[in-house]
Amino acid sequence: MKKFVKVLFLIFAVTGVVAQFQNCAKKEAAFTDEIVEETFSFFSYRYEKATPIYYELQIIPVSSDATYQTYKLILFAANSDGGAADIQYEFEIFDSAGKSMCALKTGSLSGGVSRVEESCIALKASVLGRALVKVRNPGGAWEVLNESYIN
Amino acid sequence: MRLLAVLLFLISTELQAQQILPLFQNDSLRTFVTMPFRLRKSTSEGIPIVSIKLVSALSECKAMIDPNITSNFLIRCESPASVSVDVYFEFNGVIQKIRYGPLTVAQISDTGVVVQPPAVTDKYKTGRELFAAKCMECHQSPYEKENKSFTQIKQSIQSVGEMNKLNVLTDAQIQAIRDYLNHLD
Ligand code: HEC
Repeated sequence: MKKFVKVLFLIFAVTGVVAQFQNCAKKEAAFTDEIVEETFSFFSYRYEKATPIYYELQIIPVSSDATYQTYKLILFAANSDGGAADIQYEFEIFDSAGKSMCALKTGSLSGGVSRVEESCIALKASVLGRALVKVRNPGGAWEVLNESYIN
Repeated sequence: MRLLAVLLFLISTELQAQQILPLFQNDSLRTFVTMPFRLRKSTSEGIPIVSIKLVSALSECKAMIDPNITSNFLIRCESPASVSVDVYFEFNGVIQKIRYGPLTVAQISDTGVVVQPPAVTDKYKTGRELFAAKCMECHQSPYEKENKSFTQIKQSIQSVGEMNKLNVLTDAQIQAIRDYLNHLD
């Protein structure tokens, strides 16, 4: 019985201490909106509705010689609900005249893999104009990103 | 001894109830990448986030709640950093906080050069951002409200019950939204 009382007391003590801090965070929550607005452009947030898949393409010039420029193309993608469904992808980059700079890359990410890297060797004279990226879960509709790299 | 075990168990189940799941793997936590995270219950159901605040790497990184998926938040850094973030959510009617991190965000490439799309410098940036922050929770696309006038927006804020809370918007902000909605591509 004595032990039971001790346990009960301890539980009260612990919840008591925890409860003291319950409201501490409340004040800071008021800043949400300003932070969201300020950061929107930093992220160039582009999803117009809840996206099933977060995805983006990063283009990195790695090396070049007199004729050719090699780019590393890295696609990042993940399901927005944390689920493990496969993600099928297609991506391609085009020069400023709309001509493909490298062959279309296609494939599938599975098992939670969120990154795929491809190499692209383009003519040095060509200027990067646009990237087209498509992702979907098998059988689903394509999500499409058509990103321009010229002003 | 047994008492301690019981207490630890109680405390740990309480803490495990909510967890933050990085949606990208470690090899994808890189500079310039918009990295998504999800706050969820152990049953994997999402928990709406009330607010989010970086506690480190303030000059290298930014964090925001996904305006369309409130259980998710995004972090993006322009230089390598060690990021920690405070995530606030409501639980049993009280605001609770989880501190997440530190998370190492490495340089995306050794050469350091990344081709970025040009910054969106459009005239309607303010309106576009306001629309995304204030309207998109209900109107999923700006095209849904294309070419609306100042009066139409102002009146709907007064007459549509759901929109009443937007009466905090100034006339200048409504004009910015109107300008944006009248110049969609
Ligand atoms: C909390 C939800 C909510 C938010 C936030 C919201 N609206 Fe609405 N709005 C509604 C509902 C519901 C209606 C009535 C049904 C409809 O017309 O879509 C409506 C109607 C309207 C209308 C009148 C109908 C029409 O199409 O002419 C306009 C204009 C409008 N909203 C614009 C906006 C703008 C601009 C914002 C952001 C400043 C906004 N709304 C934010 C819920 C919302």
